[in-house]
Amino acid sequence: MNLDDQATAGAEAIDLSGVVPDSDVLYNALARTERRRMLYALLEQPETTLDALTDVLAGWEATESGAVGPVRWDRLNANLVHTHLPILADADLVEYDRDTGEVSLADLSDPVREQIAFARRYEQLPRANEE
Amino acid sequence: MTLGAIVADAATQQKQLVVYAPTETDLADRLAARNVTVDSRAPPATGVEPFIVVRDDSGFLGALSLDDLLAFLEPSRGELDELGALGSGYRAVSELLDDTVFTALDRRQLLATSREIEDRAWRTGTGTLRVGFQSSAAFQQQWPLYRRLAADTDLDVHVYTVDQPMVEDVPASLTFHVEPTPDVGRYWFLLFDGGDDDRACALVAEQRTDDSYRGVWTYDASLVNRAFDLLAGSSP
Repeated sequence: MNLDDQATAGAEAIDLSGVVPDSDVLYNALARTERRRMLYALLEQPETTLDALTDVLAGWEATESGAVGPVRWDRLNANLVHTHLPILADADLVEYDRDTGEVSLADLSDPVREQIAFARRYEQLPRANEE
Repeated sequence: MTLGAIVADAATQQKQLVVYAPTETDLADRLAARNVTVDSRAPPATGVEPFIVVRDDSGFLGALSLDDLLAFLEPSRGELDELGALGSGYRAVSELLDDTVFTALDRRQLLATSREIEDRAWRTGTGTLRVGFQSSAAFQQQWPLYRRLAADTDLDVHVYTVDQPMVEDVPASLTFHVEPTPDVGRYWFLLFDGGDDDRACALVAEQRTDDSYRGVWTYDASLVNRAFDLLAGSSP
């Protein structure tokens, strides 16, 4: 049964307007902390820049492991450019302009938005191995 | 030429702080005395501790949690041995805000910054530390600490005072300069050349009112060297 069948069979119709990546593509995009954090930040601020996203990832990291300096920022920035942004762009989740550095969130379908939001809730579950 | 020249040098540099926090902070007010701008943004997701990002015209300088910054702005007063408790967060912020010109800092904040420089000199254990006290009373309070700095390390300690301190058992590596230049009465200063560790730092603050100072602290080695030169040049 695919989502369309569910939509007709279930009580509630699922709105599939917007981006609906293949499952492997979507879950690969969500498979890394950096990419999830970029997506969370983009849900909050859909139009941003590569450098602003790097600032956010650096700051987020600083709340977990202490102050982050320029060397670490450069590495994060390079990882976004060479690895993570291309994966998110190939999944059609974000649009990235290499020339201007502008990054924007694509028009995501509701199930994709929900999946990203779920990932954040899941990350915040209390874990036995923490504290 | 006086120590004030390095304050003017640093005044041209301005830093930008961006605060990512769910609610408005009073950082803009609390940092109003410094040469920084403060902007606020929403946090990137729920459950993320507030943090700040510091930039200047050259780009990203650092990021740290808001808690670390607040701890820096309200440091607990500590003795030499307790300074480690301030932690790496404190040091990270003071380095982030280096070359920071402040327009109005009070004695308590200057004391905390002074403790940071003394602690760095103490941990390094080598090099030259030159410290100016605006009054002999101010020095008298710090005398036990400075005796230890000179006696227990290989530091070459120079203390500048406006009049003769009433102290005994002065370690050989502590030199008093009691013929003050005008700078000594006017400025609160600590200059440390970094010793073997090569981590120079300096604080130079000019008193404006009873409890208000304008000045700069820096970890920029060239700026610290310039302060050493200026002090030597203005000595009689």
